[in-house]
This record gives sequence, structure tokens and C-alpha cells, in this order.
Amino acid sequence: MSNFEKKNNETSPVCFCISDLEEVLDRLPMGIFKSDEKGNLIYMNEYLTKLIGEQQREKSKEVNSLEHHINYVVKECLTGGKSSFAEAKPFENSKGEQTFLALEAICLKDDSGKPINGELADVCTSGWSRRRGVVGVVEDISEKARLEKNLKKKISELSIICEVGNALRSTLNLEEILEIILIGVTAGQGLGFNRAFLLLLNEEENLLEGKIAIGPSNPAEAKRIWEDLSTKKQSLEEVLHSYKDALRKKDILVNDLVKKLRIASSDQKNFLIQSMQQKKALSVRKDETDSETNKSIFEVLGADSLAVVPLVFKDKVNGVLLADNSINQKPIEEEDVKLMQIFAHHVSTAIESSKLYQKLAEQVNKLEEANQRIAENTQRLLRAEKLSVLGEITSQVAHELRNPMTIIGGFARSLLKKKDTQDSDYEYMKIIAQETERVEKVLDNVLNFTKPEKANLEKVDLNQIVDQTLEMMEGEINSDKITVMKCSHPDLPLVMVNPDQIRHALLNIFRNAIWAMPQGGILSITTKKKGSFAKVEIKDTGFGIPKEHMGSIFEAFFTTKPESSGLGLTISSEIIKNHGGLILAESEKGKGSTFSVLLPFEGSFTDDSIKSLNLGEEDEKRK
Amino acid sequence: MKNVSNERNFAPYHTGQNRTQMTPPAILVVDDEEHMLRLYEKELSEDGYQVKTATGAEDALKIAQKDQVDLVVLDIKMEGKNGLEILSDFRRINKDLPIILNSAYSTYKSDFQSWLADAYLVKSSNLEELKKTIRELVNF
Repeated sequence: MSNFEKKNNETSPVCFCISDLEEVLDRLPMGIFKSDEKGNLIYMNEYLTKLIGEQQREKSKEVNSLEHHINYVVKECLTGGKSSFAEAKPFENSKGEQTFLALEAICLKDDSGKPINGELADVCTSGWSRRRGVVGVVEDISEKARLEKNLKKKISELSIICEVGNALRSTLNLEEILEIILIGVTAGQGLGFNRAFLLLLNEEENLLEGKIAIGPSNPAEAKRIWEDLSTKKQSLEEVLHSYKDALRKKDILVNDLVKKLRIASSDQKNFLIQSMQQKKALSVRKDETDSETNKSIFEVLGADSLAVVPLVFKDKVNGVLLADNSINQKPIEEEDVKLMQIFAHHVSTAIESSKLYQKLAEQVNKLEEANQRIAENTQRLLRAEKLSVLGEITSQVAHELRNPMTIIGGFARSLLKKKDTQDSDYEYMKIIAQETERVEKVLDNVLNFTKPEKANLEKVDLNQIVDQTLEMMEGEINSDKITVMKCSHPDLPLVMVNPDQIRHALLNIFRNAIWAMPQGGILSITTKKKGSFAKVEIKDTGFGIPKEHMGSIFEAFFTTKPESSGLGLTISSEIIKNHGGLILAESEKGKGSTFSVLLPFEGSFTDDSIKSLNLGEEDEKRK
Repeated sequence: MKNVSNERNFAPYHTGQNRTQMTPPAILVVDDEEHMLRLYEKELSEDGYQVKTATGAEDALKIAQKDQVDLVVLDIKMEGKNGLEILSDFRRINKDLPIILNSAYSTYKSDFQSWLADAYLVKSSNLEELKKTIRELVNF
């Protein structure tokens, strides 16, 4: 126990060597002051005097000076009778460091807690020892304040990263992700850079390409945007949206700039490539660079200094994130680059997720396509089954008809042989024989359809088949009402077909066309070359096919004609398909229909030849 | 579409065992349709053949065993035994007897049993093809 304390404990007024005590007080690393009961400062230790001197050196006497603060707490203390606290306005000390000071003053009280107001004797003559008034300390809290400031900054950085992370997770759209990244880098609540540029690696071409950029084009615009945003007090997430809108039209310039950047990944001297290869963040100044490509980057972007951060995911580098402060010329600090690096990690993850999502979406698409194909195949199978049942029935009916036809026609022919050609019955008998033959031919065709035979293929000119079919129809076309217009391609390559079947197929289509024009009209038949196919286009000016029927016209038993079997177009379609050809229809109600029959040129039929037709457009029309 | 199948080479003509030069060839027509038989009987007899008819397997075999038969025109789809079975029966008795399968169906052509026949003709009101084949097979 020191001498001083011992004496103090004895609670008797002590007079000891004041000069010792003052020396101790002067050497304390804090300011100490004392006032009299009226609030007049009567003592300040050396430390405090020095502080006041420093502050006055920086700023000439002003209201917020340290002295002013001390007077303030003393007054507070005396009027309230309680302790009083204050923080002085920070100032720069002689070393150029920000100095933060905290003040605390207490009222001197007696043992009963009452303020001492001068009843007790002054032990010493020296002013500080009077036990009345106020004593206080001034503490340098600069270190604490710095730590607090740093902590606040870290917390805000973490919350930025967290907010941007959340925003990034909210979308899988690569474009949006890139926008969020750049806004995060430039937004005041984010990293606060002026402009941000994103370059991604194109692995196929081994190029680092500028993709997207964000930032105002000049200080005036920057000011306007930020003032506009700051008045609203938004969270980063809100800023992400409003900043996007604010910049949408203005960011074209920076976007154009960044797209000019295309750097070969083999360019070892380039600082962007170096940053990627070393997986290291860099802060590069224009005057530090020597290579041409490096200089050109600064020139293109109009920057003097750039922060570069590689986008690394696992061991792969996807690109780089660039940022600068060209608008307000604020120097790029190491801290900013570090933060941007943490940020870039999020970015790489988001880009990678988006890529994975895209792959997933592609797989889903493939699956959907496969499903679609299965559905189509099922439809085809159902149709095939329907046709097969139909085929059986038709085949049975046709066979049942063949016997009576043979008998009727046989007898007719038999009788014809003996009839005199002049006999009036001869003509009728002949008609029976002819008509029977016609029915038999139809039966042949129906049986061919139900059990297609590839036999009897001949190389023929489709123009001839068209002519022959028209000849067959001579009796059916009323030339007063129907005009037949024929346009034949002069050197149509030959097709390898069963001529009987193709005639039959065309006949059905021609008949339909005529039937659709009861009031008369034009039947135009055109032959053309289309890829490796010969095409016959049969166009009428009839009443057309209603849209809702278009899908069914080739289906068996589908008909709108009261006297029709509904097999005509089905048979035509089957015949053409059996020849490796195609039949298409388009129609407009009230204007007419066009049927197109396509048959492959002799020796040219492959799946590719069908693709070469580019059927998409025609299928569309058909629908 | 032609009604004659030329896909196979048919066996050369074999005359009936007992036919003399003087007597016209005897043709047995087997069909379950009465009117069909009437037509064939009329047409073939007018061409100078002896025509015998049967509506089923039993009749046909009886006639073939009892009378002279130089050629058989055989329908396929019939009540009871069908033409292909009758064809096998005939072949067991006489493997050289010329037989023409004559059906409304062309599908039986793919049945190997039909290959035992000398010709396969699809029925038609125009009997010329049939008559031509008969002439060739019986050399008449």
C-alpha cells in the first residue's frame, strides 16, 4: 500500500507533497480537469493541455472545441448533480491520425452524497485540491472508435454479400445474374465502385470476351442517379431493381465499350489473363502497364486504374470482374479489391449454377421432346391399328364382292360373244361387262391398299400419269362449268412408281376437287420440281375445307360427302406414302383447296431427301 | 394390276392318264358357289372341254377317282375343306394332275401349300387368262 493511499484511508485531511501528485497526474495517459463550484476550470493536467493545444492548432477557436466540450460537461454536472458524458468532435492529431475523445465529469460529493459546497477546509493552497466543484477525465478513444468503425464496415460488407447472394439465388437467368453482379459492384450500398465490367471466357474460341457492363457515362449522370436513389432509402435488393431501371437506357455506352474487349487467353502479358491464371485479384494502374493490349484495355474503357478479380469456381476460371472509379477518381483501395474478391466467389457460384440450370433445362427439353415423340408414335400406332382393322374389313368386303362380280361380268362377256353387234341388247350387255370390270379394278385397288404390293414399279413421267388420269375423268368433268388448267414442268425427272396406283391416287384427289366446285370453277394442275421430288399441285376454287376438318381429311371413313365411303383420300395418302412420297393439303374456306403430291425422283429416295423439302412451312399451313 | 401370278415357274404340262387323242380334255371345276360353276361350265364347254363340277371336297375326290379328269380348277375359300386341303388330297392321289388354284384372294399365294398347284389365278370376270392357262396345261 502506497504512502498516499494509506494516508487517504485514514480519511483525515491530508497534505502531502503536491508536486509529486501533479507529476503523477500529468503523466497519466488521459486528460484530467477540475472546476470550482461555479464551473470555472481551475486545473487541467499536462496531457489535456497538450490535447487542447493540438486541437487548436488544427482548427482555430471554434464552438466545438475540446474546451467547449469540457465546459459543457462541467455545467451539466453542476446543474444536474450527476455525472455527465460527452464525445468531442474528432480531429486530426500531429501524426495525421483521427483522434476521438470521450469526456466524463463527476460532481464532488460528501459521504452522505450531498455535493460539497465549500464547508470543508481547504487543505492546500493549490487550486486543484479544493474538494468542491467538478472533476473529470478526457480519454482518447481513437483506437476503440477505429475498431468500432471497422466492425461496422465489416458488418455492412457481410450484409451486402448476403443481400447480393440472396438476389443471385433468386434467379437462374444468366443475364439477370450478370446484372445483379454489376449492380452489386457499383451500387453505393454495395461495393461502391463507379463502373463494373464483366468478361467471360469463351472456351471454344479461347477468348476472354466482354459481356456486360454497368455504370454512368459521366459524373453528372452518376450524381443524378445516386441522388435519385439515395432519397428513397432503399435496401440493396430494392436498389438492384431501381438502379437497373435508372441505368437501363444509360448503360448502353459502357456496354458498348466492354463488348470491344476480346483478349486471347494465350496473351501471357495481359493483366486480365494473368489474374485468371494466377487466380489472384489485382489492382492495376494505366501508367504501370507496358504491353499494347494492356494499354488498349485502359483506353477502350477510359480508365486510369482498374480492380481485377478472377471468377473462380472450384478450379475453373470463368472470367474476370473489372471495376473502376473513373467518374469520381476515388483511388481503389486494397480493402475494396478484397471485398470484390469475396463477391466474385458468389458470382462464380451463381454463374456455375446458372450453367447447370441451363444444362438441366436442356435435358428437360430433350425429355419433353422424347415424350412428344412417344406420343406421336402412339398416335401413329393407333392410326396404324385403326387402318389395320379397317384393312381387314375392307379386304373381306372386297373379296366377298369379287365372286359376284366375276359371275356377273363373266356371264355378260359370255353372252356378248354370241350377240350380234347390231343387236340392241349388245350395247347394254357391253355396259354390264365394262362396269363390272370397273368395279373389279376398284376392288383391286382397295385390296392393293389393304395389302400394298411394291411390285409393278415402272419408271414413268409424272406428267404422263397426270394426263392419263385426266383422260380417265373426261366423262366426269363438265367442261361448261369447270376449266382445267394444266402446267407441266418440261423436264421433270422420272419417278419409280406403280402407275396404276398413282393414277388411282390422283384420280381420288381430282374427283374431290371437282366435287368441291358444284357451281363450277378452275381446276389447276401443276407439276414442279421440289428438291429431289416431283410435285403435283392440284388446286381448286371450290368451297374449301373447314379448319376443324383439316386434321382428319386423310383418316379412314372421314367424309363430308353423303355418298362417299370416306376412303378416297385415305387410299391416295397410303399409296403415296408407300411410294416414299408425301401428300399435303392446305385450304381456305370459301376460296378453295390445294393438294400437293410429292414423289421421289427415281433412285433418290432417302430420309434426307424428305428433310431437304423443308416441310416445316407446309406443315404449318396444313395445320 | 394383273391377276396372274408369274412369280413361280410352274411344272410343265402333264396329260391326264387315260385321255385319248380323240376325246376332249375333262376339266373338273370345284367351287362352292353354284353360279360360279354355271359360268365356268358354260364358258369351258363352249370352248370344247368336258366340264365336271363339284361343290365340295367329297364330290370332287369322288369324281376324280371315278371319271377321267385332265385338269382341276380349284376354288380356295369354301365351306368345309378349303381348296388348299383338297389340293393336298389330289396330290396324294395323283401328283401329276394339273391343278389351277382360282380364288378371289391373292393372299393365299404366300401360303406354301398353294405352291403345289400348277398355277394360281385370281378370279376375274375376264376369263381369258384362265382359259389361256388351261390351254397351256392340257395342251388343247
